[in-house]
Amino acid sequence: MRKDVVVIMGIVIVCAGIISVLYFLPKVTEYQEELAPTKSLLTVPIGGIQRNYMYLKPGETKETNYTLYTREGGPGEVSYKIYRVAGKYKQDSPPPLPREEIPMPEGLNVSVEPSKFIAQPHKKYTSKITVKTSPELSSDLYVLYMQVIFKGENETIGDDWMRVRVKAGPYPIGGESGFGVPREDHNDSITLNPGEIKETNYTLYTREGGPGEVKYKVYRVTDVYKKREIPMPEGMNVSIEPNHFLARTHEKYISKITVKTSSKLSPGEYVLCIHQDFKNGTIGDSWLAVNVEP
Amino acid sequence: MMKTKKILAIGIVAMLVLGVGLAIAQAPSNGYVVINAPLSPEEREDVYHIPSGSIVYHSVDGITTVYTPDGKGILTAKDSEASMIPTTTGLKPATKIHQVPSGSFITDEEDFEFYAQDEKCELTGDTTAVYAPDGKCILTVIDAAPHVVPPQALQTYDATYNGWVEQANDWTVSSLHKFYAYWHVPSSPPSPHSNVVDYLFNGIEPSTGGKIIQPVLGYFQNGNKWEAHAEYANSDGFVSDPIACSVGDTLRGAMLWSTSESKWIVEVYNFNDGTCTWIKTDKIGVDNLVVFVTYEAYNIVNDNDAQGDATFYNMEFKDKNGFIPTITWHEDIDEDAPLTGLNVDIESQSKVTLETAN
Repeated sequence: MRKDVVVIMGIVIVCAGIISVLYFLPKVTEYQEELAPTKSLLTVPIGGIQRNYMYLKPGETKETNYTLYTREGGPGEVSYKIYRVAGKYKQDSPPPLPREEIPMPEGLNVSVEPSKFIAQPHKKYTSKITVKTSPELSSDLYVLYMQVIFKGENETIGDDWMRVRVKAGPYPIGGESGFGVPREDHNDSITLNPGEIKETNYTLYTREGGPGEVKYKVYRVTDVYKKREIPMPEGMNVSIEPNHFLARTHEKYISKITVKTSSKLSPGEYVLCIHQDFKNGTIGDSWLAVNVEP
Repeated sequence: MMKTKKILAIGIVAMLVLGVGLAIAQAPSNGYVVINAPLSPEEREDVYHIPSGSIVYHSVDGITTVYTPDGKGILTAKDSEASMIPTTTGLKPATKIHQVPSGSFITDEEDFEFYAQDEKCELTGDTTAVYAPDGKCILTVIDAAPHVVPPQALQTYDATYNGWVEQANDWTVSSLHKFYAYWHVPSSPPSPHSNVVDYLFNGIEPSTGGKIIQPVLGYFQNGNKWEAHAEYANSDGFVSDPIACSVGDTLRGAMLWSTSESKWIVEVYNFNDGTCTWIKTDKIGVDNLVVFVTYEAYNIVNDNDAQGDATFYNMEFKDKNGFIPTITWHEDIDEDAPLTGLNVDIESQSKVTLETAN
């Protein structure tokens, strides 16, 4: 072979290598950036209200809990303040939620106890939120904001909101209690060739779910909407990471489903069930079809 | 003389042993054992011995229960009756002091799950595990009254539940002009508590949430009646006049986009008596939507408040081009709901059953 041909071939190979690196590198970086907020959420102090929707008749008193998980944070003083806010309340994530204080109406009294204490690292602190209403209080939706200050722990994600529906009469507003129900999101299917590895995101929008532990399990089933586990085919390996963590309200947690196949895997459709168990949230199942092409 | 001294010495030793034994655990009072020495997996004279691997549970009402690892209760004691023992952080009841072998590893156990055989629910709380130097877990302590919650706070906790008990959903519907569902009025709740309301509906929300259109069937304990209405809700609810329904009636919940009016028509039709009720609204568009079939409940306490299984069938969907969109249902059950027997059985795009214990 002529020397110049060899040189040209070498240049082509080097260029191809550079192009493929440039092609894949941004995707990897982008993916890591996407996961970064979730990684941060897994370590900083977090807290949340256990039930963010409360339904009362005028004159009733009800309670719920606020729990702070200090994790690496502390020791330090924690103080809570709860007050009414105005504005639209949406459960989108990240939440464009209101923080500006407006006066409480006469007949609505809200307290949190204890509202000040010293917190130690790796502990869980629970306080009680009490909502008292008078019989004269107008039927309305009142939005409350819980402001959390953990001295020395600026990364604490502890603020939360709750909806207090005060309504006379026997008819609750249909649907309203579920406006903040958690949801999960992922592709319904992925396609790959035998021997390939493919990743796809599984995103949990906690909305008004939590705070509580989240656990995921991915396993094979015979078909979409089926739940009975069957063995994985030889040459296919599936995982989801992170699959066990503590989640709080109004956040987005991204996990990564990885499907690894060997070149010996038979082509066809393999259906996976993703089981989610979210304490103070929802227990649910959803399905992912893995299409292995011939 | 020597013999007398020997007998006296034996007597004193026997009395001491007997005394220590009596001091460590007095006779049960009303089923509760009085604990006068630290609970410990070690077999020593100055402790109250419990089997290695025991789970000690401190309840919020001041009762300490010791379980075997498989959940069998072996000892119950009142913290208030236990001897107060000085520690570096002040006097503490003996039930809350745990003597462990030198070299033990004491750690938080965040993932520990434990079900007592005589309790129906998981016993949860701050959990501490003790590992012997050989790595074997010899003691687990669950403190259900962590830190700052006064017992009365939990005792007065709102016992009723309000929320979406169970649902099937698809959050990725790019466009929709029609969503019909049929279902029969299920059996009524067997023995509902005051003011219980159970709602069953198919519904549409924008994917940003916060508002919904829905044909709703409701059971109302106040009046012991079934009624249906059409509704749009955001931070307020807008409902049509209700129509009466009876157990077994066949209903159709319809949501149809009127292209000429650019409005959703939301309707419930009762096939048994030909009555219907409906509303129109343009508060929700036709793009980027969520569809649900849902069981929602208010003021429920237990299974006596839940209606029977409800099957939504012959569900029909059409997108804005007149095609049938693919609906991929996900299922979700509220982990907080105080009910058993919950299950969402998805048979196909057009048939979903919301199961309860009734």
